[in-house]
Amino acid sequence: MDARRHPEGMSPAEQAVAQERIAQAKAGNAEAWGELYREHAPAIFRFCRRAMPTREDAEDATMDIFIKVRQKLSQYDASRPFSAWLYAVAANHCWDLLRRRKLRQGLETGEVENMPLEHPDPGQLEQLIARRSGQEVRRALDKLPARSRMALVLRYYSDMSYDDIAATLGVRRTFVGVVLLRARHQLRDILEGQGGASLAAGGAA
Amino acid sequence: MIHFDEMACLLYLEGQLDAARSREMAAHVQECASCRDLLHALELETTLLSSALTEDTEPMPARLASEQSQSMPSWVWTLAFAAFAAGAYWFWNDGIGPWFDQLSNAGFGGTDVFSMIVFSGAFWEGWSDKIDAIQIGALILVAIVAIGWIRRRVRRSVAVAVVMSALLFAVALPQQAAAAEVRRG
Repeated sequence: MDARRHPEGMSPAEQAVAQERIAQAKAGNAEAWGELYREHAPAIFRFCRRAMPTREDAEDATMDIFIKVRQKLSQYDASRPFSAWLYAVAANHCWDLLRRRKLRQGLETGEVENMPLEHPDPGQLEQLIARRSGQEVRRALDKLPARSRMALVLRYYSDMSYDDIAATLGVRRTFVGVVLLRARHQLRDILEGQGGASLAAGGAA
Repeated sequence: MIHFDEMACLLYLEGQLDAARSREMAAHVQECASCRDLLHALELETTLLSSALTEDTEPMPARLASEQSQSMPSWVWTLAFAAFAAGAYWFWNDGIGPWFDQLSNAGFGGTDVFSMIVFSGAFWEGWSDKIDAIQIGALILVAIVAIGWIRRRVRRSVAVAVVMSALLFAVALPQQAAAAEVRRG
């Protein structure tokens, strides 16, 4: 099963098994915890791999996240999807690490708010998208400022809500869209390799 | 015709517009090819982003394969701490202590760092016995290999701590043997 998103989008019987496993892990059952780990660790590792700058950072972060999750398991509210809670813990951990390392190169809220964004030409944007592979996009993501990359990962990998993204990144909810749009523009610039000017169709419509 | 900007289009696609604005947008794109094209391009971009981010391109590292490797058993921490304490004790008694004694005998104050470095560091005869470049090089190599091997199971900082503690502990052993020889003489 792909634990990346919507693991709760399973049959009622599967959901019951999953909830039972979480309850057993909460009660200290090592075997149940092991199964939970094996089910979710690959997705959390991929999340960390996308969010953190190096593979080693991602490995260490994955370990730390699961240590934290195990310690906090008693705080998990079963009425909330487990994967959403897991990603929230992972996102907070990774963002905290990046912040502490002063890799937070993104612009502050006020600057983002005032930043003009050129209206793209839809045809050229489509052409750019058609020309680029997933690998090229991942390489371009690695070059983004930490906040822009984290915002894209939270939204398009973890499927996180705007409220949760705002809470994780410490920005107002109304600015999440701006952060995401700005990140897309930065990504296009990198993919275009020439400042992205050719995508712009003029001023904002 | 007034068009919607890119921000509004993105929020519409992501279901973040309020109901009234969303209906307005839906009605507008029925008539406006420009906004419809932009919505389509943004949607394609979302698909590309999602697939690029979620593609499983790397296997799980071996050290993450089992939940057993997540945390160090407490006895390992205890052992590492004990080894570090023993190493630090040796280093202070047999490494730093004699320097201070020698400085005092030579008439230099132990608090003068410059004197300590210049006179006790550069001209200390004991260097030739203590430092063997090849041995140190070999030791560093062994340490790097050991850290790399241990790292497969635990995180970097732990691997470095364990290896450094072990090294300090190992270095302490020959010093004790040398002291025994002096007593025999």
